[in-house]
Amino acid sequence: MKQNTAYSLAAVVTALVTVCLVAESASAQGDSIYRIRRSGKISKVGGKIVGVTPTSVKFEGRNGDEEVPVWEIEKIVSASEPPEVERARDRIETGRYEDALDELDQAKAGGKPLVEAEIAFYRALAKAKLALSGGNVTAKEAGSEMGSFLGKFKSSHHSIPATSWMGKLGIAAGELDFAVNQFEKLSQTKWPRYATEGIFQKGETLLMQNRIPEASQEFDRLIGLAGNDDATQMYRSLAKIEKAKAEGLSGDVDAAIAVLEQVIDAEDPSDERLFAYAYNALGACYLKKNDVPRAVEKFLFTHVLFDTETDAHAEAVYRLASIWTAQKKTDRASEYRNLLKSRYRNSWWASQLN
Amino acid sequence: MSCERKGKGVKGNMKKWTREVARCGNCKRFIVAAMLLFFGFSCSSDLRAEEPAEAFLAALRQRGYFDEALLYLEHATTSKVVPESFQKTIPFERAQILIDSIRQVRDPKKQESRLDEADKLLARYAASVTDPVKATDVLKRRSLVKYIRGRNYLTQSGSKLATGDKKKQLAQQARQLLGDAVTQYQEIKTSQADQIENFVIDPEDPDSNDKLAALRGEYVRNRLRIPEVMETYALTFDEESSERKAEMLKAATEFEGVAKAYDEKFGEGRMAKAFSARCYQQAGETSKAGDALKEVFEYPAPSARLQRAGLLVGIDTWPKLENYPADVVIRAAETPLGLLDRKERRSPTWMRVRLELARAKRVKSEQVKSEDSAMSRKLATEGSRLAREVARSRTQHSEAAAKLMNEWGVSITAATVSAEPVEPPKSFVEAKDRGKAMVADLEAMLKESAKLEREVARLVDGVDKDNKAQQLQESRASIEQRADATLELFRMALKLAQSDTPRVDRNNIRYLQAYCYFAKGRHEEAAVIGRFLLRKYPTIDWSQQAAGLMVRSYEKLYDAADPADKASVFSQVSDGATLVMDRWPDGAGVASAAVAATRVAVLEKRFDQANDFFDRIPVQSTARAALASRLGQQVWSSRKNADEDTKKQLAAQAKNFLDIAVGSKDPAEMDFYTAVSALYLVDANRELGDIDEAVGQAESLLGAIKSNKALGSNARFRQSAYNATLNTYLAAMRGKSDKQAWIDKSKDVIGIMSVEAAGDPNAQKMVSAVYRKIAGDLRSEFEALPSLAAKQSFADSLKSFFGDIGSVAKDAKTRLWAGSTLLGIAEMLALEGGAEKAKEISSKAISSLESAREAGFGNDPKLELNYQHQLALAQRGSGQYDKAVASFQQILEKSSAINVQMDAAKTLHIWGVNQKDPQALTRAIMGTGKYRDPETKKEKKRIWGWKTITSITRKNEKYRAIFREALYYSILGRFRYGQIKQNKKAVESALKELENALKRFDDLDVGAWKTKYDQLHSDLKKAAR
Repeated sequence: MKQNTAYSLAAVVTALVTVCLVAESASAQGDSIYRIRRSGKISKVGGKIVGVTPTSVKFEGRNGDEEVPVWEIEKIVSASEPPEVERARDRIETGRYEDALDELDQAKAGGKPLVEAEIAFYRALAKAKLALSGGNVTAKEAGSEMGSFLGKFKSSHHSIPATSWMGKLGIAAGELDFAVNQFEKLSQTKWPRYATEGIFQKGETLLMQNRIPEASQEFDRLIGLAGNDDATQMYRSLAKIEKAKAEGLSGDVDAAIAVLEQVIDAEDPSDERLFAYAYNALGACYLKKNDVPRAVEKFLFTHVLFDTETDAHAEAVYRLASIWTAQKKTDRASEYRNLLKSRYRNSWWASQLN
Repeated sequence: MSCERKGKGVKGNMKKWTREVARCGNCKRFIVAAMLLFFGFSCSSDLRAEEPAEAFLAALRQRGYFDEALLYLEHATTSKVVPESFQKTIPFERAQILIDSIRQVRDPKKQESRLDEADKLLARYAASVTDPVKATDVLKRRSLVKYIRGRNYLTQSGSKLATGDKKKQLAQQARQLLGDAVTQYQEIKTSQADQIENFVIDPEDPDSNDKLAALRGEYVRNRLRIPEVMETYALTFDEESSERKAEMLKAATEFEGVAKAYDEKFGEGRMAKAFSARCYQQAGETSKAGDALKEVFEYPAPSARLQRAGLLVGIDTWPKLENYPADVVIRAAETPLGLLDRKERRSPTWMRVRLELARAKRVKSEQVKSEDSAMSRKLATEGSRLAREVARSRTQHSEAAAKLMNEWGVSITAATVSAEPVEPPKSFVEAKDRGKAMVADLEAMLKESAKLEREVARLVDGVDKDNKAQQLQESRASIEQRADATLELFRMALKLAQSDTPRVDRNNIRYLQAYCYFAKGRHEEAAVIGRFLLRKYPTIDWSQQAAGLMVRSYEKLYDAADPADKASVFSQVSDGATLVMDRWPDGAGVASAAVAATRVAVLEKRFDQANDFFDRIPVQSTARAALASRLGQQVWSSRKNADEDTKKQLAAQAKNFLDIAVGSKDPAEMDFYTAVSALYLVDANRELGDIDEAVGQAESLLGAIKSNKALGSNARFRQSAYNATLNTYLAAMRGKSDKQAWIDKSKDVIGIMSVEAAGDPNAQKMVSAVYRKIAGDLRSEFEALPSLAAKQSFADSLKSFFGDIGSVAKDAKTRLWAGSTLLGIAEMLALEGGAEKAKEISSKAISSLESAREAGFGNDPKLELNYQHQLALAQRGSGQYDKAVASFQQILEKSSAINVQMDAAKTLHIWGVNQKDPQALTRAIMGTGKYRDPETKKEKKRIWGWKTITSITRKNEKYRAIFREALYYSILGRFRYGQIKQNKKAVESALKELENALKRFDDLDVGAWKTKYDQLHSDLKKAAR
């Protein structure tokens, strides 16, 4: 009898341990990577995340170990990630940044570094987007949050996007030299989309600083890239436009205008970003020529037709407000100033109004 | 006395009174009569002996029949059936009625008169009152009178009509009255307190308790009145003065006292708290005001009246507080705002409250941000929404609201205009459909606005025009709001568009956006959309319409541009229109693009381009002829201030357009506007030298007047057509040898005009004016003829033209003028050697002058003198020199005008030359017609002669031309004398005189006189050799 009881006990204990072990191993296998396939579709892969770097995520899946480059990852979700984080991602996706922050306020990391990093990054991201969309977070505050994330989670797979945000927030906060550095860093990454963005944004920031020859160099650098992916193509086209603008501002403005008009004639207007930049560049060229009515017209193209392109739109609104202020058309100037201050109040352009 | 008899007496009284009321002549008499009947029946049914005067009077007062009540009291004073006890109180009653009645009287003087009478009545009555309660009642009325009078004076002192001393005087009067009122009310308070204290409940009087309660009620009411009067008293002092502040604080303290005593029992007690806040606020004690307001809104279940009173004070107090009481404001304002009706919601005061609530919500939002971000966001959104409503309300608070929103970084243009939140659209199609519905509303609003604009333009300055202008302004504001809201919807639509949303639908949205911008007057934005669609989507629907709007937008921009910018904007119009016309040559938009471009090109004086654009207007387009008409008239009118070269150019351009406008129409069916173009075409042809065409056009118009009712019935048009025709005939006559035909044609037209003017003195005056003008032109034509023979031949034509003067011009003035013109012509002929013809013309001139005399000069002595003058000239012209000189002497007896003196001297000169009479020449120089001046007793000459004329005019610049002429004739006369008498010395003397004069005066031989003086000099030198 005693022996039977002992055996029963042992069986129970073994079963329990096994369950725990199984449970433990099951939970460790519950991480997911959402992978971007060549076709563009996203597929979820279950497994275990064993390492994270700024450029890749090491993953143990059913098919073995893999090191997935970050540019093939839409998101990673660890098993212990609280549901608030996913909801926060969703809120950010749909532009509900305040709600995203609320969700993240509720999320508990539970001591898991990966979860902590996710929470920190998405909080910083929500604030960054809030700041740059005219919300009640300043660019400095958002920059501080993002910087804090980068400082604490250096090896996060979000590092490269975070650097991009640092650069943009730097511009918004008026720290242009800082922004140039961030974009230079970005341009050195292996992530094509961000590398090209880095070069382009560096060029843009240099233009803002009136460092035209250096800006031109960056645009040349971009134009010279061989890549054929969507991002490189897009930025290359934009770089051609900005290069023409730079040449117009420093040299033959009529030639620049001709180039830009050709772009407008030839390109598909569904590429709204391209057209917004092109019209802004034309506006800048006409201002250089002192043909103010034409300049106004070009900036109005951006404002009326391509206002979804927020960077270009903010510049167009700023230019129009400035022109009308100079012309003492106070009603118009006031309207556009208000628009800039309300919609882009944390932008660099809004800060230039003061 | 039996009741029946008394009852009859009462009824009789009532009948008499009813008659009196009936004489009032107002529609209330039926009701009053009914009341009388009622009381009459009551009397008879109750068998009372006396009239129920008190009840009746009370009924009249209650119904506001104050005039009837006063009339009744007048009657009651002597009535035998009104109780004596009542009669004694009549002065008091009358005073009460007078006080009550002022709310129906607007004129301050009438109000003052009634109050003054009331005060006197009460003063008299008070002397007879012994009962202390009654005495207090009387004093209360007197205090009220003083209060109302004081308040009225205060209001008048604040009026814009009161200035300087008057203002001060009124304020002083107000202060006096209000000060007395305060004192009296204080007395009343003391007296009432005593009465209450000393009141003894009468156990046998069932009303005793009620009486005490009533007394207490009166006491409370009086206590409430005191600080009210004190506050008004404080307002009689200057705004920044220390006295005002001190008095206001006293009033505040008094209100506080009342509140403390009664705020738990009475609503008025709580009101006193709100009023104390008001007094503190007015005294600049913002913090105390804030504290008082806090208490007001802490009262449980405050009444709507209390809340409103508190809010009215709060909106001026809260923003000034150091710690903004956001919670208090939210608590105070939220509920009342929610209960407002539609009218109240729009009132400026409630808009102000709304703005304050907006501010409070934003402040609260900041306060809770760190603890409760969701609540913070909600408050911020609500605050923004409220502020936006105020910003768009177009009240005096809009600007403040806009400023606040700017500080918050919130956009004023938002998706929704209405106060109630609207669900944003969920799809492109939904947004598009909603937007289109709003555009339909916008179209209707634009039509209404255009109608208002026309009405405003039509009205003359005044109240109506101001009202309409106000409506127009409001209409424009509504259009702008609607357009903004619609634009926002379309913006959302485009955001919601998917990759498979058809391009044509997106284009449609873009076109509608352009329309909204156009409606708002944002033509640059509208143009940009059209330009883009034209460039990038020319083959997609809606691009053409958007491009059409683009051209119209550029046109508007051109019209609004500064002169310096017009050329640049013109090129946009031109380019835009060209693109549209090139892209869609058969399209619906071509006509309007071409029309716009043509019009603007004409304004820019780029006529070649204008013609090119005009040619592109489709021939079948109904706009073509109308545009041609408009442009032709416009161009023609613009010639006025142009130089000669430009004038010709403009005339040619105008002719092009007018030819098109007029050519397309049958004269018999021509509309008025085209007929006006036809008139201009006559003038244009004439100016360009196409006389034959001008004549044809003019005669076609004359025919059209006969056959086209619309034109024929328009007197002004007819007049213009006749004038144009006459001018054309005159132009045709010039340079032609056969002038008679044209003169006859002109006479025919003037004849028609005369017939039409028969019986209408104004029309006749116009005909006379035309006649004079034609005659003037004929004279100029005559003067321009190169030879005597030509002049003599033309003179015959003129003789026939002026011959029928009697049938044409009925007035003496015109006939006189015709005679004078003929005389002028005769003189010219005489000077050129056509003496015989000159005599003939002079005889004709005399006939005209005689016909003028027949027409009568009325009481116009000037006209009479003019006639005599002309007659004298005519006598001269016909060789009757002695008669002429005698006539001049007669004229000069009445008036010594210099022009008459000149003509008189000239007559003697001509006499001397023509008759070779040296004496006449001497008299021409030295004067004639001696007489003794009755005043100075000195010997003078009626006709001064050249010597005296030159002496008088030599030093006066005003008479320079006369001096020149007189000196010329003086020297010429001496020369002729010398020649006739063969006296060389006289000739030499004349030469010397001339040469001295030429040396002395450097402006003799100038202009037309140069030839004359030169010729004279030359002749004298020859003769003196």
